[in-house]
Amino acid sequence: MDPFAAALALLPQKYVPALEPYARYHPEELRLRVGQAPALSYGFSEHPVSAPKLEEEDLVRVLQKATGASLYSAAESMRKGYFSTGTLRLGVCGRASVQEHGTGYSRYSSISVRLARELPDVCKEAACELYGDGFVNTLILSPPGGGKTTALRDLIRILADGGTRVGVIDERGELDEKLYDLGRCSDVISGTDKLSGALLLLRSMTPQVIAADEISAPQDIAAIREIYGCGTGIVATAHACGPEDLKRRESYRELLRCGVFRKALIIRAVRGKRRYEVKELTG
Amino acid sequence: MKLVGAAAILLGSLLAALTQLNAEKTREETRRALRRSLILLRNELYERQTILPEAFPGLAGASGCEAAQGFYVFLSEEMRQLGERSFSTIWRDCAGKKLAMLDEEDTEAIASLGTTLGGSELELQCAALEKCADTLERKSAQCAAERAEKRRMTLGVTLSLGAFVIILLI
Repeated sequence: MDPFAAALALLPQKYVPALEPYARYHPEELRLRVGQAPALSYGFSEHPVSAPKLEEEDLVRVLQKATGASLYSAAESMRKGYFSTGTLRLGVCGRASVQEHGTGYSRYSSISVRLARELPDVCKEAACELYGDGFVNTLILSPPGGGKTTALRDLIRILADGGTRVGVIDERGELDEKLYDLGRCSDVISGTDKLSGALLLLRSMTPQVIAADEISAPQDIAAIREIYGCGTGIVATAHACGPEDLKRRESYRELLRCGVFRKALIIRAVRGKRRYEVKELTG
Repeated sequence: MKLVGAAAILLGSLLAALTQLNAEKTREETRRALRRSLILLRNELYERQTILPEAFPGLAGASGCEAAQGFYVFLSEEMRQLGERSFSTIWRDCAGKKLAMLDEEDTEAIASLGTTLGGSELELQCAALEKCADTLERKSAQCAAERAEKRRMTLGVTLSLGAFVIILLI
């Protein structure tokens, strides 16, 4: 199902007619906030639609619809603030209680429904620039919602279709080979954290490159350190506007100092469009 | 003629008594089947975190009782309205429509499960399912104790009434 149609299918019918005409803008996100009408993100800005205001009960119903009235099945993911269903990723906000095993919610105030898109060849030119002289460890950078995961999928496909064995760690359900074309030589491991996934791939699938999305937590950095030096390449994504942003964080400074990543693919919004720029990374 | 009339009245009273006993038997079968299904559901949630729409058809098949099966089948169909209606509303409506043969206390115990089922806290739901299953079991035990007495009383009253009518007519 088309991601936008899948997102509308989660909503009570009264909101759908106002949102349907916006399909032509290829929205990237549907934002639901209690007390406000639904809003759509496209062209790097948010656009409210003319529809009734949402109530908390509407948000609860969206979550029930998304999980088949089985929120417990997504509880593990929701404790990290989001969960995925097929081509949608739902982020949840509300009255959270942070516990040892994660975050729970007693009230919901907003939901963000990210609509995953497949953009074949969006990184074709960048891939030539990145890997013209052979593969180098690559970090894809952009602020949140910048298109890193979409770019990662395309790079995986380009590498895998070119004959490179790519081991993909799909921790968040956004690199599902059943939903996206990840190329003929990719192997996906899902339902596991990055460190365990990396070790499993190294032991069993002899990957030439390992791909992972969102290197942010300390355990993700540990996974990268584990892979680095095993003779396997790495392509990953991180939240940052550019290399200077990365250097402000201790965990990334260490990776840059060690020269783990040699090049960055930086995604920027320029006059409402995405631009892809390749840069050398230095410690 | 009077004897025929008296016999008809007696027979009618017996049939009424047997119908009432049969209704009680159906209620008990339904109660037991529902209790079994709630325990099954509790295990599905706890062991495998099965999502509810996938669990209901299996519960219908395993229930071994027409009324309980009908409840879960209807529930599976009504789940298509999830999003337009909340799960607790769907669950309660289905219980009201398909479990009407149960008495009010049992129906309310089942119906109120809908406010807990489907939430994010698994342990809370398992506890609610266990509690409801216990309620049904207690009710079954209570009814079993009362049944023998009720049967004797029903038959006794029916036969006495019939004899009284016969005497009046004769």
